[in-house]
Amino acid sequence: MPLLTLIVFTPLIGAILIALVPVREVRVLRGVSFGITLLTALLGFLVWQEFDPNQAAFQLTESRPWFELPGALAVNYSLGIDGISILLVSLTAFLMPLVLVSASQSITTRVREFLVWLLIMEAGMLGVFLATDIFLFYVFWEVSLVPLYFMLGIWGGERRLYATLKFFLFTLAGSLVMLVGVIALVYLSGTLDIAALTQWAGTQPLEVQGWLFAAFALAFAIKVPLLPFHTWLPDAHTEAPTAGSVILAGVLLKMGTYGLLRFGIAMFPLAALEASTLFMILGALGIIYGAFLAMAQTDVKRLIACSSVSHLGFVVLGMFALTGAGLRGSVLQMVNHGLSTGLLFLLIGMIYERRHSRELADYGGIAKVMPLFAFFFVFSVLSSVGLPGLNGFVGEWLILLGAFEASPVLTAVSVTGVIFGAVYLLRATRLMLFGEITHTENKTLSDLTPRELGVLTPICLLCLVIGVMPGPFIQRTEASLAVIEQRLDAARDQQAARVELDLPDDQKPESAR
Amino acid sequence: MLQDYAPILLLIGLVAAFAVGNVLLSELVGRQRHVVGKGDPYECGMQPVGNARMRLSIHFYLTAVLFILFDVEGIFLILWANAARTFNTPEFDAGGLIFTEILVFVTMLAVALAFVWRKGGLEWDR
Amino acid sequence: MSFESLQDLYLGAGPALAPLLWLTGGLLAVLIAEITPGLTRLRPAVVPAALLGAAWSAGQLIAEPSGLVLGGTFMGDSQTGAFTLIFLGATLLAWGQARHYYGQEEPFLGEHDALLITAPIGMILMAGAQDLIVFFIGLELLSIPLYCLAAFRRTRDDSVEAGLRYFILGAFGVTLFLMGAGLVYTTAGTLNIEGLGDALVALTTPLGSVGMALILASLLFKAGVAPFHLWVPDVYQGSPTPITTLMATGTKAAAFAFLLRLAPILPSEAGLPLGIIGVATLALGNLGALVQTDLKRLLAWSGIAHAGLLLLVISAAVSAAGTNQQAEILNAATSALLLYLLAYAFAAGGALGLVAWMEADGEDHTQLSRWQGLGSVRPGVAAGMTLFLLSLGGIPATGGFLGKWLAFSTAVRADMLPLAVLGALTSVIALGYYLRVIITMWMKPRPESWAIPSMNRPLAAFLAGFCAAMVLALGLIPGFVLGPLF
Repeated sequence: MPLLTLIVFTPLIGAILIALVPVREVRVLRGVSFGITLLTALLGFLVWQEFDPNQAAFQLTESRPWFELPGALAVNYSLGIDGISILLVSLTAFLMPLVLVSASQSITTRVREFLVWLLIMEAGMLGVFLATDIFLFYVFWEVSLVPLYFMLGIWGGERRLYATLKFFLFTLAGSLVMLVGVIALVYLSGTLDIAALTQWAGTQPLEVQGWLFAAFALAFAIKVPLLPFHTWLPDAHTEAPTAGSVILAGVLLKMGTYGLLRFGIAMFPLAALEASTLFMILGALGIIYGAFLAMAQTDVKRLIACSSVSHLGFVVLGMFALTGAGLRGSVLQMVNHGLSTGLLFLLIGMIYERRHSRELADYGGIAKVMPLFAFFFVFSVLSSVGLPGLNGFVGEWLILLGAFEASPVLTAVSVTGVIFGAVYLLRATRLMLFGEITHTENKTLSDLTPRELGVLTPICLLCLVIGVMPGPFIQRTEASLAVIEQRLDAARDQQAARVELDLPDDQKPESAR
Repeated sequence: MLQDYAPILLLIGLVAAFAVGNVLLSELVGRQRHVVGKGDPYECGMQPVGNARMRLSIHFYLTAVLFILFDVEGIFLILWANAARTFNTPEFDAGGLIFTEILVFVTMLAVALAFVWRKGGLEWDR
Repeated sequence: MSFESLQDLYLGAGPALAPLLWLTGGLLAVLIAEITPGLTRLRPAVVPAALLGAAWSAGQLIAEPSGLVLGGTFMGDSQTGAFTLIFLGATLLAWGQARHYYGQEEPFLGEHDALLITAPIGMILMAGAQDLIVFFIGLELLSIPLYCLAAFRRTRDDSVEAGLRYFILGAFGVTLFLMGAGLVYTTAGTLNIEGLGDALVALTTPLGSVGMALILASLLFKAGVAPFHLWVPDVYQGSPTPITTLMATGTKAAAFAFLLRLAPILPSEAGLPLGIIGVATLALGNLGALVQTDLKRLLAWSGIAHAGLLLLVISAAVSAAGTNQQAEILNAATSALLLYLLAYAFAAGGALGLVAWMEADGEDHTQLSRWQGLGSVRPGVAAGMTLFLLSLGGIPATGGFLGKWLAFSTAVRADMLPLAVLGALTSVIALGYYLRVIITMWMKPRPESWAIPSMNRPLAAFLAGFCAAMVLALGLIPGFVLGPLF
């Protein structure tokens, strides 16, 4: 059974189906699209089951010739999954039905359009993680960009047009640089297959790897977003509708970190080694800077958005430590951030629908009227700050462990980010939930509905499972990450040999003379 | 080589002689009557002195364009006739072929002429 | 010349000239139908019939190329055939858009159609020309009808202005070409492309290079490449929208088709300057489009930018001249140009078609502000426009992306990586203004008092739908669409 094709095309076909339903049939629209995402989630679960943790290469692969034009290489439609993508694919499939349910309350205008974009986006994101042909990858990469643009622009907040344009132009600038990188890579190597490209790129000298790495890394750094390119993220997050924010935090940003791992580190190990310090510094700066930004916010949604910058700094820090623990931690942390930040955005969305304000000052003491909400909010905050026993702890622990091997100083700096994270999130918690109720409007707020509980509970359970039992999750990434480690080790040897060659003759070790 | 061009030179000479000779002849033989209009430069029936920005009827323009169009086709026909002689010999025997060719050409001209006619392009007072 | 060769001259040229004959026949049929009382009603059927017939012959030509014909002055190869299909498609789009487009000029639709069907004859001659004279005839056959058509809405000042401006500058461009051809003939002693290829040394003399430069300048003028682009916005905006479609898609394609024929005989040192001009045009076009408030003018500036990218492809082919990669890169450039122009024809043609359609509700509907909130009342039209603009912007899953992919691929293969990067970065600007249109249509509210556009023109709807389908098909199943073309 072509499982991967099914999982990509189910939402796409669903989008077409939805487009054919009359606009007025809102209930039918919602029902059908929920069914489709549920089916996709089921397929995601099947993929999770079928996945063989011991195999490092792409599995469940499918490949068919797509098209061939004279003067250009033949392009294949080929999909596959490995340890780097399995978690993200499952996360995407898992989150989408929940996002859809949450959106059924908040999105009441132009419902059909929204659902169509949502489903196209799901197909695009799954495609990005599953494509094993670089052309196909690029197509999915851009296709997943367009729906969010519309979701932001049509259903977003007050400054949505500004945020939309900024988001699109930032990411597009990166994409186009990547496009040239892709073309150069393809024509230097003569293949479009990602596995073959990885093989080829690993054998290239630093000069070649460096430029290609730079082109790819720039695009992904904007998407993550890494420090100097982060300014679009708070705007986009703040203005996006809840569903958009959740997807953005949960999955779309992970496309950046996924790309850094797959196309940055795995493909160009030599260049990655050279750039390691730079990216770790950027990651650490992101952690601190994001945390400071978050502390200064009065808008709770913007606060969470800034915390995203900080959390993704951790992912990049761990990844570019280029150590076993760091890589594992960052892969796991991608999922963790998706879950806990997603939870926070969902909760903000729920309270916003009741109160129509995101200002911290407008709340206070609502734990008294909304105990369930308070419970979930505190749970999410704790998961986000990395309380042991919840998911965030495992990832951050591994990342800091891995980063310490590479650079104790930067790790020490980054650890302060954990503390700052606790500071701003707990401050927000205190201001929102506890204390006296100062605004009369807040006294009549209703607590979470069963539907909302249904959205939040599965995510919280998953957070708990990862926190207590991270084994099955890390184990699935193990084999593929081990291969990357081997490539990095080989590159380290090569680097050492280069350094020796550059030394004056009398300082060279015996073997090299 | 240069002798080939001798007829052209001769022609130029004849033309010049004809023009100059006629003017001289009428000057010498003709009766002289001086009228005001005769001293003016020749200008196609228009007043040579006055506002240069006078408006002309668009009909002039249309007629001029049509004239040039069909005039040029006429020149083309002469060239064709000249070439046709070369090919319509027992040696080539391509007369039918190039006759068909010119027939197609003339048909196009005829259609164009018919179009112009039908659309009233040839009528002055429309 | 012997009898055999004379007969061969005609019979051998048949397949290569068949598209031209179809169109000429169509032209005569339009004229006859116009003046024969009983047949006037048939006129609307004649043009598409002739175009489809010509397309069929072009298809035959692609399947079985007949090579050099007419004494080596016209190339009947599959490249000519493929370009012919683009021209015919562009003409068909323009023809379809022109139905019910003109108000008071409607009685003159016969003349309009006759002029319209003449333009592709010129384009085909340009695409297949192997001789500068044949090219010149093609250029004039294309230009003269377009001068008239640009001014076809003769009661509107901007249309007349467009016609006059196009005519004067066009005549200037043609003069440049003639001057250049004269100089080339002086130095090389031939006007045949193949002959010029053998006389490359002569072309590098000062006189010869000036001649080639003048020829290039006239071609760049027709294509609307900087610094010869200033006529484009005014003419595109002032002309009737169907004619804008034809100029944007057909004329540009014809100019580039001949540039492609010239590329092998240009000195490889010309490659880099041409590439730089291309990227500069790309940037200039995009910057110019950024500030436009009129959709036609915006599309005109974006057309300049696209011409810049196409010139980059040509420059790649030129700079590869004389290297061992020459044939390979020329091949890549050819398919890149064809695909790019095809995708551009459908995307720009479709977008202009929607503009023409909207104009039925008032001439000011070319203004972007009148499209505000269109997505809420006419989602189909807005969705179509969005698709066309995304394709023009080169977003994947559309034909425009594939064109861009091939174009940049060609540039990268010809070692023009820096230019490709610059070109890619300037494309970001392009998305800025395409997005502005999309934002206007979908994300701004429509004033309550505005009437819903009537949009009761089935042919326009059909053509827009067809363009949209082709844009998507080119992006998703290009092999299926283009398989027969290559």
